[in-house]
Amino acid sequence: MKKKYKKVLAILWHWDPLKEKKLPFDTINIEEDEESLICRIQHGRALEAMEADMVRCTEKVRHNGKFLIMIHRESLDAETHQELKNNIERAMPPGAYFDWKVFGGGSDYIYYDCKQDSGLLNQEGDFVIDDSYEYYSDDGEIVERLACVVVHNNEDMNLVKKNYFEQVWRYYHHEFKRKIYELERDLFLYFAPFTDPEYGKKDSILATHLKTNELLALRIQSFAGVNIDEQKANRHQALLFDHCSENLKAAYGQQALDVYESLRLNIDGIFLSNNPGEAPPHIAIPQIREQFAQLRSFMPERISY
Amino acid sequence: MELLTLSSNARFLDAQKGYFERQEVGFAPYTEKTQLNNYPALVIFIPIECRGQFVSPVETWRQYLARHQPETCLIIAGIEAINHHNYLDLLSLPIDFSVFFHNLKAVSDAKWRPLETEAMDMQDKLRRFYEGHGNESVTYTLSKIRRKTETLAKRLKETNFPKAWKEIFEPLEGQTVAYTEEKWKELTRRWGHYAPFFQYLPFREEMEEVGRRIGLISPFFENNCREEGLYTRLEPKKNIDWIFDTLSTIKRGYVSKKI
Repeated sequence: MKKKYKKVLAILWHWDPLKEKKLPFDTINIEEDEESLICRIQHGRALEAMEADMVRCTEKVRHNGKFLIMIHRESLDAETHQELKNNIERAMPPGAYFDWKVFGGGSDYIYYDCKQDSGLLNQEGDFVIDDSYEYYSDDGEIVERLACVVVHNNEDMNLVKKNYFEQVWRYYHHEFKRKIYELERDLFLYFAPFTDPEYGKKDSILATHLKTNELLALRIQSFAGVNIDEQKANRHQALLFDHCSENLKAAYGQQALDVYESLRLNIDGIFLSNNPGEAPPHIAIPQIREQFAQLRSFMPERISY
Repeated sequence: MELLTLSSNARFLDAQKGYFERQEVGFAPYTEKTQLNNYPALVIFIPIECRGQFVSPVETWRQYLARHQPETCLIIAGIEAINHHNYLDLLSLPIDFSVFFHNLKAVSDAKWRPLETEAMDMQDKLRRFYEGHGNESVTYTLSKIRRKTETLAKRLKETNFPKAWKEIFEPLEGQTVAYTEEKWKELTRRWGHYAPFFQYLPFREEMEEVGRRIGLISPFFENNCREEGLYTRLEPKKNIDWIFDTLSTIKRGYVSKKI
């Protein structure tokens, strides 16, 4: 029986190693991680052939596993995306998670960033392998870094180092910073009138007002770690936060988690509680905004690339 | 007082409706440059959300206004906690809007501070559009296409269209896709990706005209430039020159070399 993986990351791109070997597709294992796999798919071929390779990737995803496909912007015409995405989704094993992201322009998170020491790809069509980089440190000094995201195993095969894979996976799978930023925007725009001291309903319970916006309520509950009904969670999977505290801690460390926990308590008290908060909304809402900003400050990535 | 607004999301305008009504501040959507003569300020609500990305066109607008419309005030409004002299915080509005307005810094003021926001500066987007990475850039692709149309125009002074076409555009042996056709495809793909962002920039009208002309001459390039009738009718050289010059002028004015 063919091996199946919990996490499969497929990348459709101009892969130089595939070009050299005249291969349309291959797979790369992850160091010290038998549950994850990268599939490299060569671009610039007939759509049907690229689609067939993407379907081959879905066959490697375990039941309840996760498949993330990264499409280089120049590799597919925009009008073909939706149809192809639907076809791949149909090929997915039952219960498995599927997501589709577009990258490009040489500056997406998947490209190696020497200052953050994160990312997988160089600009030339390969993983970063013994590439030399220079960057300015925060003190304005030029720092040199020899970077390599792969190691060789005993059979002389390339394996991607686990931490580089995990960083990229976490970024595109959770998109924490971006999702938080979007949540902030929608939450604060919705409650903005309550920060106006002359607003007629400023003394009403915010949780009552939140009930009139079901989707926003669901997002804020999911961020705050409230259990969401399974059916609803499945329907709005892309909008919700997946095990926020443990994934935040894994991605950004204990300090970020501490800020999150305190923010979570405040959200609970201000937006989810049926009792009036201790501080009036025009004081409490900007305070929560500060906490959101503090949480984002632990996330070195950008929200747009 | 009535102000011009630029926003990708109507919810920003509605968020503090009551406040602005009390302060007797009205808004009119920005649609074209000539409006700038008739309003005291342009309010940009950030972030602008475009193609699923969050961007800020503020710095490009500041530069434009400083050069062409220095008396127009620039107000940046949003729900992020931003400390900036011209920022209108929608979660912490000034008691008296007219006092806030009176204290705004002029766009040409040397003490104007850059705005710090999570949204991506549109100047980075523009730089990416022009320079991309390596031979994917619009600058590179367009200059290659332009060279071909220039050569064609020159050769047509000496010979007929089929002969000139054969010399310049016929695919090399073993090539399945012709070079110019491929470059054109790259250019239109890149244009299609970036064009929606340009509607939020001060040179939107020029960019719309670039888009219109790209659409106009596409049939000629999509058929690897082989139709003499399309060459005569669509005037690709004249249009490519116009596109090249317009994009170069914008690049010179608003895209710094830093990458």
